[in-house]
Amino acid sequence: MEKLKDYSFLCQPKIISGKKSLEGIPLELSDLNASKPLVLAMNNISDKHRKTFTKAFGDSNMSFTLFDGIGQYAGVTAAREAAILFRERGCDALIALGDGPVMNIAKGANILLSMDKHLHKLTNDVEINQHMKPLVYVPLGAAMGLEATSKADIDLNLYDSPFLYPDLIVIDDRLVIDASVEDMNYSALMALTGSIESSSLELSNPMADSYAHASLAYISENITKGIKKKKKNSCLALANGAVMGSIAYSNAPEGIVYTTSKAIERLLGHSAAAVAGLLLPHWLELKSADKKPVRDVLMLALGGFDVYSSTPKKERPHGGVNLLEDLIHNMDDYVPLDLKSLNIPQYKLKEIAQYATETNSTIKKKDILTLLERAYDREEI
Amino acid sequence: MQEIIGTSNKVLEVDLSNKSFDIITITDKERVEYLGGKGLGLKLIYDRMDAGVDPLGEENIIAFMGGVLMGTGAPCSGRFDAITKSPLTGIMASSSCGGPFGMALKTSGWDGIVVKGVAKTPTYLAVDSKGVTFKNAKTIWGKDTQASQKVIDKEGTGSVVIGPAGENLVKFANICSGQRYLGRGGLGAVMGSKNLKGIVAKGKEFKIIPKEKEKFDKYKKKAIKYINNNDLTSEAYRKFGTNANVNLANAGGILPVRNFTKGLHGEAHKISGETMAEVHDTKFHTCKPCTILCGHKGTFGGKMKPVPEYETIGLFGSNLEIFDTEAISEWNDICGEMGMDTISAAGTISWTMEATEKGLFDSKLKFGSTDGISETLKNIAKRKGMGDDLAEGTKRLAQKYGGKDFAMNVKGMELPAYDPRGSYGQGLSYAVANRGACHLTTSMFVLEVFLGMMQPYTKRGKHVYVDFGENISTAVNSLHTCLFTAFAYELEPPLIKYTPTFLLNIMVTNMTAVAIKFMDISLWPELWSTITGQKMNTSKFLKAGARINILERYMNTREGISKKDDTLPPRLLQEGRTFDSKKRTVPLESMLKKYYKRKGYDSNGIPKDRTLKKYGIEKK
Amino acid sequence: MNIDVTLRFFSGIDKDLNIKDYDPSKGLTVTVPKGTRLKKILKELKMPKMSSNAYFKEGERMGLWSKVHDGDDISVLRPSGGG
Repeated sequence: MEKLKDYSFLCQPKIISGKKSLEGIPLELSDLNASKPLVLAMNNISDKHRKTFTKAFGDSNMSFTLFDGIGQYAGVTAAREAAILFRERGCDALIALGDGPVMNIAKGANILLSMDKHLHKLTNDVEINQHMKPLVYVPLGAAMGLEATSKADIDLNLYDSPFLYPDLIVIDDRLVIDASVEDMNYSALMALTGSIESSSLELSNPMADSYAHASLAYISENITKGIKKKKKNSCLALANGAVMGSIAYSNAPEGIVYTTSKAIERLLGHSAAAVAGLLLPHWLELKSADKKPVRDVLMLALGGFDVYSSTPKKERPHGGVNLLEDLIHNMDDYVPLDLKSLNIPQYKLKEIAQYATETNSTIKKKDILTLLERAYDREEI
Repeated sequence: MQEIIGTSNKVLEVDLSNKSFDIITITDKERVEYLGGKGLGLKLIYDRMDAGVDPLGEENIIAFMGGVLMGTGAPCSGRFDAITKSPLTGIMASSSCGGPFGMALKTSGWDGIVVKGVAKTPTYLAVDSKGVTFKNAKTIWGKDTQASQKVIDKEGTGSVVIGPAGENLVKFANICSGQRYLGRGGLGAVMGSKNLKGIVAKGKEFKIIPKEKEKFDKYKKKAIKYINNNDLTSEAYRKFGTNANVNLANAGGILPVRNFTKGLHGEAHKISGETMAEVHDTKFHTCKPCTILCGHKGTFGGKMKPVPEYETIGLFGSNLEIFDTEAISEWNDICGEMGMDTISAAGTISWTMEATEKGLFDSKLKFGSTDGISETLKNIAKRKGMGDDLAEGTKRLAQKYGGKDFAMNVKGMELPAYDPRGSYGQGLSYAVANRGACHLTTSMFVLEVFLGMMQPYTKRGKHVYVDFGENISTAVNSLHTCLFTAFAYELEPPLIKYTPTFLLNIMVTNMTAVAIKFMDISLWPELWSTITGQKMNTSKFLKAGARINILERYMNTREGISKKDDTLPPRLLQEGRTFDSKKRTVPLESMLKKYYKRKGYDSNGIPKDRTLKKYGIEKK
Repeated sequence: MNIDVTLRFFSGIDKDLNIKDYDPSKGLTVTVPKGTRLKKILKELKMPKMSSNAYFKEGERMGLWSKVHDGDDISVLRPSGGG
């Protein structure tokens, strides 16, 4: 066993998962001294989800206010509107019923409510240094990677504070089963990215590793049954995998694949998850070629103990990358062949690399450019 | 003076890198299929330029094209097009204007000029019937558009020039000809990237004679009669210019106010055409030849100046909550001298004001205040201070600072001055127009709000009319004639003219495809046909328009455009206008699906192979 | 029962109707019986080419046969095209 390095790890949320988890929310809220939550949801939330959620509160005598004006973009405007409604209705907790922008807006509203008495400006120099309103995250199976973390992406500004962790995560099988095939694929890809990047770094730690490992195992075992056969248990496992991947990611610096795929999403509108699925194996291949070890735990997590133990030690890193490629191959419909197939002009690569380094200065522009060029045209590899 | 019967079918092809030029001969097939103007320019570029080219790189090509109507004396035929890959959007863009260059080029014997490469030093081109001379532009590099024209116009009868904004590669820099501008898409920056300060054409070397002159004269007379009889083209525009739209847009709740948060304002009348006609004593100031006379000039600050056009008034005025026509005139002048699109410049300023309010950006600009705007515009042109950031446009600003939900652009091109939450068809049109947010591709707001011929708050039939409108406007821009002739040529034929508006409304809303079939749009193809001597009927004319439109779309999809880009700013999809108690937003998704089906695109907005085949477009 | 309705004239219509000292920021307020239709009010003002005009209330078009209500603020304009 490797010598244990010094490390720091934080996982704030209490997590409840399984059948009828929603029904536990009122009790959990009262433990957090809250009784009048503001529930945030997308503007296209389904009636079914609305009814399931409402019914879960049925016997509790607890009522909630619904803010369902959230679109695809998580901007300051929506965060302010939510915060204003929160104050007007005298709410005392936030529940994000949904993923991605819903959770980002919930965190944004929480920052405004807790740090800014006037609900005026949300600037990226705000210091989040105190406990905020209780925050609950209820996934709908379309997690994009930041929900269960200490981070929030609001109007392209990344806020990072331990106080941004949700207090409670409630994963209910009735809600996660209805995610679209596209959302489930993208959620799985983001979880893979978060897990692999966090556990591949030189400064990774055993706690983050365990979350990453579990995330990878759940996703690889359930991706087919969950997405293609829509088995309730598999969908639940995928949602758990996404949360575990987020927690691992939250305890690691942002990696090159995540940064670059986000840059492409912001500049050109392509799904960050799809691009991450394309870039991840390329990055691992580059790492191997550069003689930086790809950890063999990747093979263990994706292949299981039998495959791992029957593979010679030297071949495990490469074996892990192959298993990852096979796994991503199952999501072929959602992962592009290369960047060229997205009709990204080659002259744009420098712009993407520049933009990516501006959002994450810990990563070198030349490394990003190398990754992009490798992933550009499959025929040229 | 020598004569050209019909059209010369000759286009100059200039290589700035090698300081050489060639002559392209247009075949009959190309002429019939792509008409001229925008269509032909697009085709010439498609045949010569690969996908994935950097808009500010050496390989980008810019084409300036007159149409077959230019020089014949047909009404409103003084317009010409420029077509290129836009640095603002990264996709194909075209723009047209009525400045003197088009006529000068045509009467020098050329149907167009196509420019590629990069000059080693600042250059301008002098064109005559013999070809092109490459001239040193060092002494005018850095000069504003009017001062530059004063110098190079000594060598001809019309020119196109860029101002400091184009030289500094401002993403929405425009190209000036006379006192008209090829406004949208940053075409000026393309010229700037090529070190090309301007092009001047000698002109008056040839007379253009239609091939079937007698027939042409008959149709010309009919066209003039329609224009003079039509209330829009003979009344509203002549009296008040395009600013007749201010009070209409305000009354209809589609005036942009405070960065498109509201749709009307109690002080809008202060910047209307009616008020300006009185306060600024306006007179005609138009393209030549023009029968509609929408352009005006007036006294501002004691000087006679062009009256800012509606888009400028709406976006520098109500959209910034400013109702001071003197101030707006000053900003119009600055944009004109520096060579910048007023729509994008004003849209960028309104984003800056809102981003400042929300703590996303640091500036002193405020809604309702004129302070700092003049200086900001000059700094944008010079890329000085925060002007360097603003010169990139709202899309890139939002990518850098956030505020995407109120960055009012589509595909990177800033929104014109019509709020589509009060005109659903316009919302669809903005989302799918090939060059980005464009009000001219299909002016649905005219049909839905101004004329009341279609219900504005329904999705019904909108995909049909937007498709039709795109095909018509593209064809008209390839003739080339002013789009305003559409009001006369489409509305004056008796069937439309004498049908009560409420009946038209019912038919056009509920039976759009049928209503379109009853429209008589034959004047345009008849004019084209009698000039060229080639057969052209309404059906062929519309098919040509469709072909050009789909070619442009196909070229854009090669640059990465797909369904994800056929959208509207989040504000228009998620927030209602403040006055609207129903908080209506544009229901884009279902209109888009139907539109794609009608156009022959797949569900991702990519033209299907059989669609390309139908129009004879070879994949590249 | 009588009601007050404000009419705002644009496109030079106020001049055609010879309305003296017309202030566009205030419009013209008329008092009419409840249930009156817009067409009747315009007829009494001797509005020429009524059916060629566009009428709006609260950001939406209204027809000549629409009944007016107390406090209505109606804009009367001649249509224009794009620009």
